[in-house]
Amino acid sequence: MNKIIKKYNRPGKWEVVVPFEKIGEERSWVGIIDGRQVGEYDLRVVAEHRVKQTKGRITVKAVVGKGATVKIFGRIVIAKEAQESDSFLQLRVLMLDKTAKAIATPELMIAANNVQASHGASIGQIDSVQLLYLMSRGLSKNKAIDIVIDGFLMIQ
Amino acid sequence: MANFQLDHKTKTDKYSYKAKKGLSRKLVGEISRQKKEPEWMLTTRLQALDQYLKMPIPAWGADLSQLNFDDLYYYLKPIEKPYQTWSDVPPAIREVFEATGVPQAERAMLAGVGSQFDSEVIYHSLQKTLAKQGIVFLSMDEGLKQHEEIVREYFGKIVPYGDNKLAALNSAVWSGGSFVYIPRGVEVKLPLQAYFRINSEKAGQFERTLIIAEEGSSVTYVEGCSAPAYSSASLHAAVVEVIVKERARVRYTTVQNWYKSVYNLVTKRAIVEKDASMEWVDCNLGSKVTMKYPSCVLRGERAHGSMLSIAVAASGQHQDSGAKMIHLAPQTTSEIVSKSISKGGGRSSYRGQVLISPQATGARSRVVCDALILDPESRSDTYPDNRILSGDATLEHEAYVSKINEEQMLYLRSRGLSVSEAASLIIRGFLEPIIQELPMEYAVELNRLVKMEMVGSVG
Amino acid sequence: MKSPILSISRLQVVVEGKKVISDLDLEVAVGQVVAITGANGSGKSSLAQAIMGDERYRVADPPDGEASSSKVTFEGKDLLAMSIDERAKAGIFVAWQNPITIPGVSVFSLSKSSFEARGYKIDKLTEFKTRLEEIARDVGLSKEHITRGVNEGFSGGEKKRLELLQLLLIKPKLAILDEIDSGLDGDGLKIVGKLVAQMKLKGTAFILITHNKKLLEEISVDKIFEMKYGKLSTRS
Repeated sequence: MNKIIKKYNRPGKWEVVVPFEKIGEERSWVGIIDGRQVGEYDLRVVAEHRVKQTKGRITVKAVVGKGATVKIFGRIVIAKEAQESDSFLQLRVLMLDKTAKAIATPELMIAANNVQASHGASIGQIDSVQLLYLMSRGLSKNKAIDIVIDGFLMIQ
Repeated sequence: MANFQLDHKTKTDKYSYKAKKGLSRKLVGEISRQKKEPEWMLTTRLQALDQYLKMPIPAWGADLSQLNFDDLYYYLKPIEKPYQTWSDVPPAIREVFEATGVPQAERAMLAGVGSQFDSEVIYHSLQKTLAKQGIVFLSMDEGLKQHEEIVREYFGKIVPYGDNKLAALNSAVWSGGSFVYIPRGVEVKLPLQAYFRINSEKAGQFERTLIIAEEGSSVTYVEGCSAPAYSSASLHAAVVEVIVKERARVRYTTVQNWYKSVYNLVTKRAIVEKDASMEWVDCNLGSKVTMKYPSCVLRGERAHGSMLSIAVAASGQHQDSGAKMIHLAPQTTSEIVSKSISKGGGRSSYRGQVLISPQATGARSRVVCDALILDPESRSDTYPDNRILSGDATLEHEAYVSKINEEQMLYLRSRGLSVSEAASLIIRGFLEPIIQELPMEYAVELNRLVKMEMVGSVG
Repeated sequence: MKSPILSISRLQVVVEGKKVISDLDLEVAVGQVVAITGANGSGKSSLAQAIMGDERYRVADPPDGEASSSKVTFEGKDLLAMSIDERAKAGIFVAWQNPITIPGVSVFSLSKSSFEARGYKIDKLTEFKTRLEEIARDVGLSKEHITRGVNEGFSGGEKKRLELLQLLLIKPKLAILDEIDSGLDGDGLKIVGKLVAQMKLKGTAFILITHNKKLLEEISVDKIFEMKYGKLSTRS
């Protein structure tokens, strides 16, 4: 599978189109937003399945820090001709501070029936149990948070 | 047990007053005069009319271009006064309802039945025990007459006439609908039922419902809607306002099977106070176009809002529906479960919004929208908008679109079920989480309607 | 032999362009228990799927241009001409290797539909429900399982037990158990052994597909075949 990973470390606005134009094409796109600076991060990703039997996996992960706003627009389009296609969009956002803000708009526009299209979006805070575990191994709270964030922002 | 049917076969044309087509200040004045309304209501209607004429039709959502607003009857009144018992209702009108199986008071398992025929609530009955508890369930017209102060306090406060063009229209020409008032601490054990029907070609139906649940009270309100088979467009632009006060619980269930010529454009909103809960259960089977997004404004701490919906879009239909959950206070929770089916070229769109404001710390929301597309001509869209403006809140959202699972079909067929029997069973299972929340007669009726819809669509 | 209930001659099966069964002959008599062993990928499950009628398993003609072609008869009737549900109605039951989950469709619902598809009549639903609960107990499932969605939250073993429940309820003429032992503990295997012995006496024929010798110790089998590269041979 053709895999692309893009990282965004500073506030800004980006638009990405992931097209599927060859029958049987498989593509995976991963966007990682490190939103720990104050400002707005605005990412728009569209997966366009135009032909048959294409497979897409789009993942966007973001951490949102103090005074930051992350906007993620993710759309899967499956055209009438794109039968037997399979597309999945996942948005995962970690909010690091009370003042963090996230806007997630995962859209599906499906005009073929013999397909599978799904999306999942989850927005939440760092798992406190994970932090507890790391702290019980001697790490300070801040260090534990850093490690969890690093793990989250990694491709795996 | 009451046998409830939402079919399209019976028609009537007996009216005591049928206004000319089209909309004007004169007509609005006439409506208010016929109803003998207080001055403030007429003023509100006229202000709303001005607003309506100024506002544009929404540019998003379904296609409304074929709906000619000038070519509609805005007010139809079939009889002179509402009746208290079933036998008093004129035979011609009774026939229509009997054909549709609206339960008679004596047989009704339900606490109260209010039925609306075009623009007036013509039949109304309420059990004596409810009346003794101080529960009020009247037509909106009667509610305005008998409880003017209460109506004035809440009317248009939850859905102001400036909210959207159709709400402005409704506020100008509204007629009928229900007024429900549940006093403090009273729990209504049996569901209150209302039934709406559009019976004339090119009629507009503009019912206005107001439900007030005082602190600690609880009530379930159920409505079924249908219209006979006419070919020209009809419009159903209703407004429902609900206020759920502290610790109160309200569930509002709708099973809609308007004929395929009806434009169903509805604004439904509830304000939910501290520790209170509002549940919308919405089933959309009929209409040419439905645009409906029941919403909950979660204003008090720990308020809860939920929306369970089914939408079936067949040939020539566009179901554009969803929900809005607005979290304004801490620890509020919301849940949206939407199941839709598109077949025969139908189009089903989910349009939802979850807004968690910065003050709504610790708020939690969960959204699940699943869609089945049964054939290559149909389509399904999902447009969710999630705005989480508090870093302490959590949101989970998942959506899945596909056709009926082949392995499941294979398994059931290997047990001797034919293709259509297997598909029926699977579709029923797909809708099960919502169907199990409907009152029994509606669940039975919904199963029957879904089965009818599915005939010939798979295999 | 006594007249065969299932007769397969020169069967060729192709899946996604690949030949998985080539030139297979098999005869199963009424009430006979036949075991088919073989390594993974030998084509055992493909045989079960082909007999079941899964349209993805296409029956092809022998390549050598001989006059005869693939033939499968069930009780003398042409099985290949029947659709998958017609075969089930005729009395064939396949216990799936990986039973599928069907959310929202209860075990009760599935059981009732399958029972009626076989042509049996239900006079009283309450009696049917009681019978279902009895059978559930016999296979090691609880009353509660009957109200749940088919295989929803079921463990691997429970899924297999649900297949056994259906087998006992439907009483087919021919039952094909595809790797029934996988997921079952010793207790479960004993249940299978008892079940096969009971039903064999009442005339149900069995094809047991397995690569587990332990299963063959629990069940008395009339004949054992080995499958290799899509072909059957008698085991010594």
